[in-house]
Amino acid sequence: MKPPVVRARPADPATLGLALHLPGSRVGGKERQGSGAWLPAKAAAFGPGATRRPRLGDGRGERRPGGSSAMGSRSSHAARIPDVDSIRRETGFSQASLLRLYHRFRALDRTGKGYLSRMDLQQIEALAVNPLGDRIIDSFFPDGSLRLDFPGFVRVLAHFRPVDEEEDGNRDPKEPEPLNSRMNKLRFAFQLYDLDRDGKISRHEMLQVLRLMVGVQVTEEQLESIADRTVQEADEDGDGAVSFLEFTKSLEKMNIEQKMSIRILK
Amino acid sequence: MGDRALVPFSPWSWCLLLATLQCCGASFELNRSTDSSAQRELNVRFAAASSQPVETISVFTLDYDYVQIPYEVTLWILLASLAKIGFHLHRRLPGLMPESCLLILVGALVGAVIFGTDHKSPPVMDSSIYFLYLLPPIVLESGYFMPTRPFFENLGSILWWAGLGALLNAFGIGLSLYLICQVPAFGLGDINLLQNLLFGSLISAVDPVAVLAVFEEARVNEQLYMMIFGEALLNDGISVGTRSWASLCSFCRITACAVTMKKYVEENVSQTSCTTIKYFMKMLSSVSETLIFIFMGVSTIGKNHEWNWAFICFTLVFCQIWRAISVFALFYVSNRFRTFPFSVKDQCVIFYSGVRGAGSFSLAFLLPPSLFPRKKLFVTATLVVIYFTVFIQGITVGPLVRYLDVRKTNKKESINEELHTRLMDHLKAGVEDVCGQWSHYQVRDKFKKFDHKYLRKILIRKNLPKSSLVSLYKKLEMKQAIEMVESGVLSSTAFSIPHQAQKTQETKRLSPEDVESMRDILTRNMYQVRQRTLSYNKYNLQPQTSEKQAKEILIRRRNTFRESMKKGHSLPWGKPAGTKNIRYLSFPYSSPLPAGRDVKMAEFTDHDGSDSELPPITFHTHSPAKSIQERRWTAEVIPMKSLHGAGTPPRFGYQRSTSREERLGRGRRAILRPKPLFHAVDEEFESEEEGEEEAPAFGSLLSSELRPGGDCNLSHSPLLQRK
Repeated sequence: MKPPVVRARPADPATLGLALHLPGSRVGGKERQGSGAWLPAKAAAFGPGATRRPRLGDGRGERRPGGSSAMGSRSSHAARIPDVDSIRRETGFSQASLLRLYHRFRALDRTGKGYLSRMDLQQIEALAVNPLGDRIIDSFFPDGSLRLDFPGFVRVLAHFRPVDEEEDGNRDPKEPEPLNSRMNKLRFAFQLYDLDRDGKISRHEMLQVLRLMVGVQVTEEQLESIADRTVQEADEDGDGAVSFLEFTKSLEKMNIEQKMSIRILK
Repeated sequence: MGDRALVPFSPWSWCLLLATLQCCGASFELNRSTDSSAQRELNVRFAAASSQPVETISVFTLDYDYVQIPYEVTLWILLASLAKIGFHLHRRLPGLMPESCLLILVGALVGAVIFGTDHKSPPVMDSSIYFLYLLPPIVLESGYFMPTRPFFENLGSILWWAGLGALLNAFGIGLSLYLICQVPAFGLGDINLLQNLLFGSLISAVDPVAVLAVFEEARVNEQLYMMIFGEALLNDGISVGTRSWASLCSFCRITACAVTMKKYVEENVSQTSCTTIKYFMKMLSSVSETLIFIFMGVSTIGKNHEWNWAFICFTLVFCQIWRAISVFALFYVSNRFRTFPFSVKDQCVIFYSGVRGAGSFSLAFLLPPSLFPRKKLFVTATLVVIYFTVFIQGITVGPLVRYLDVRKTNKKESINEELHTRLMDHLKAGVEDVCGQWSHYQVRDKFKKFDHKYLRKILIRKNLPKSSLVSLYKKLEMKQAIEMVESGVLSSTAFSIPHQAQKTQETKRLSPEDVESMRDILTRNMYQVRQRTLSYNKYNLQPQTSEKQAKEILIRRRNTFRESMKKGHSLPWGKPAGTKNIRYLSFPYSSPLPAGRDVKMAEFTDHDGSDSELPPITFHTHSPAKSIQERRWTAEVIPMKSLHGAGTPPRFGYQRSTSREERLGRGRRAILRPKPLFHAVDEEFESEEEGEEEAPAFGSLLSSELRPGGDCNLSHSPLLQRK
């Protein structure tokens, strides 16, 4: 893993803030419980018996879900990403990227709950008109959970980190595959098809995806025959469904590393 | 233009339209007077011929002189329009060559015609005409359509590259040419340094935007786009500015006007007016540019040339060399400071897109002959460079970019690959949207704050028009709500989930034609991926195909949801309707669900959230309707509060996007909000200093009022931990 290089965005106080507050407020507690980690810090600020007027002064810097102005200027308080080291190890993001993602997470979390709900993601208007919008949102919530905390958020996005060949070479083969490897990227895409998580894309599931992605002028019969054909092409063992290995095989010529990488997520 | 008055934007624009029409005539006036004598000769001869037979009545006289001006103007306009239409009707041509090629050819044709008939020099383009009438529309249009956010984010790089690059180019070319001129063998000794430098500056003015259309298909990333765009914009300014300070000032003024006014104009006017404004600007700038190119073509064919092999060849060579030097050197330096450096490939693209355009020609043409005794030489050289770059570079840049993009050879992909590729594109686009745009927070947000606090209140009207898509959305929501309340039988839709796959799995033998046709169907009918990369076309406005696609998607989602509701799943991910979701915040003194809804309404009034993340769906790249919705909500939240919780009208829900819980909640009826809660919140609200963050503060303040006592089923709610 490369040493963290904070790219010189000159005088980015957020970055400096992060550097200063790295140990962060590491309150124990399971990450699943909705980023409880940073909330107790805020609770301390309010205090249980706080008056009705919380101190807007320092509370605001942390609570603001708007994300932008207050945090930019007063981020030395806000930039406490809990468990930042383990997240970095797991996902491979640089310090600066993690910080940006954290700001983004906070911005999406408008009410400052500390976690994201499906509705928060649904408010991204571009996702609403993405044919796969719902499925993409669902992929952020694995195992049917209803809350997305920051580590989970980052974990999903880590799949889209561009592949760094150098990193690949230095990788310790005993460690688990990095999240942005080709296999993991494919696995991520596979789960968009395979809703019932049985490890196979049935014809019905293929048809559903097709239906989502195609305009209204295509008739049902045409769609069905296309779905048939798709499964048929990829299916090798004749079970009428596409397993993950068959899926990868059908895509072996495609440059997945480039297709499923987002440049800004370095 | 609709029934709403346009916000009166720059008075320039109004003058321009009138002036442009006049200038055609004006420019001819200047010339016609000088060669009307030639025409009269023609007439005389004709008259003489027709009067040969004595005492005949002249039935037909051709008074060309009389009709010449309108005739030629009309001819030009007609020819240019036909050429443009033809150019765009042809499917592949716009992708092959920049439109400037076409315009130049038309101009040359017209010039040939004039030359053929008159044997005279072409009409003169006056300096004042150019600066007052022809250049401003072009500048205005560039400014108006410039994507502001990326521009300002990359402003440093753009200024560095465009400003310094232009200067470097200008000096480099000027100096090199001066050195060439010193060589006595070429006979150029009388051109002094100043003239060379000035020539260098005007020849280095590039018009790369003309080329953008050509490699639009290749995935040009946003940064690259902005560099090219910014360069074009600033280059115009710089080369104009070298002429006189006044023209630089006016240039800056126009640009600033266009850039700033766009936001407010688009929000204040109705949809149709918005479209009209856009098309109007495009038209004006298009007309100006066409005229300039026609002048250029006309002056190509004529006797106004001076050809000097050495000067011209070296000009060409130096232009390329210096551009290469400036591109690679400057980017090498600036890449050190950028988070996302430009690759060598990008730099090659920038280098190759250094196509000269109308700007250089105009400036060359307008050189005062008194200061430049060898003006003709300069004009000729400029013309050669323009022709070379526009035709040769313009036509080859497309293939070059595609080659650099390392596209795989276009062998047919299997259906599998096509489908999966498209899926991944959508997936990537979606995740990019989740990541949002990363930018320098501070400056932009300070501006946004200022904007919201002051400018918007002054410049934006209260009741705002809606976009068509928002209206559609509201209609759909309303329809749905009515249906739910009535709980009638929902009609089956085209997207109803069919009976499960009881169909036996037959492996049909499909002929290759079948497969081909399937592939065709797929390719033609799959939804397009949202274009994150900017796409600016100087000569066209984007067609609105994406709207149709978006409508379909939205309708489909609505229907899917309705279907799942019908089947008894309240939420598509399978939780029954009854359980209180952790999502909801509950008020201790009121029934949880609607209260949750109210708080969410407060959430949604966060109009200052990140970029484009608000429920109403719009497709303008700049989302005017989005802020329309935001405004309306903030306006409405406050009066609602002051009503102290009178029956909550469900109308807020309509403006929400696919918030499924919302639809559930709407079925229930209003609640009573406890008065003390509201009072307290009101006070808090009014004491809130920062205007723009009102609503989320409201929401969070409300939530902070919650006390664990009472009927709180949110045992896991992190909010409880706040108390």
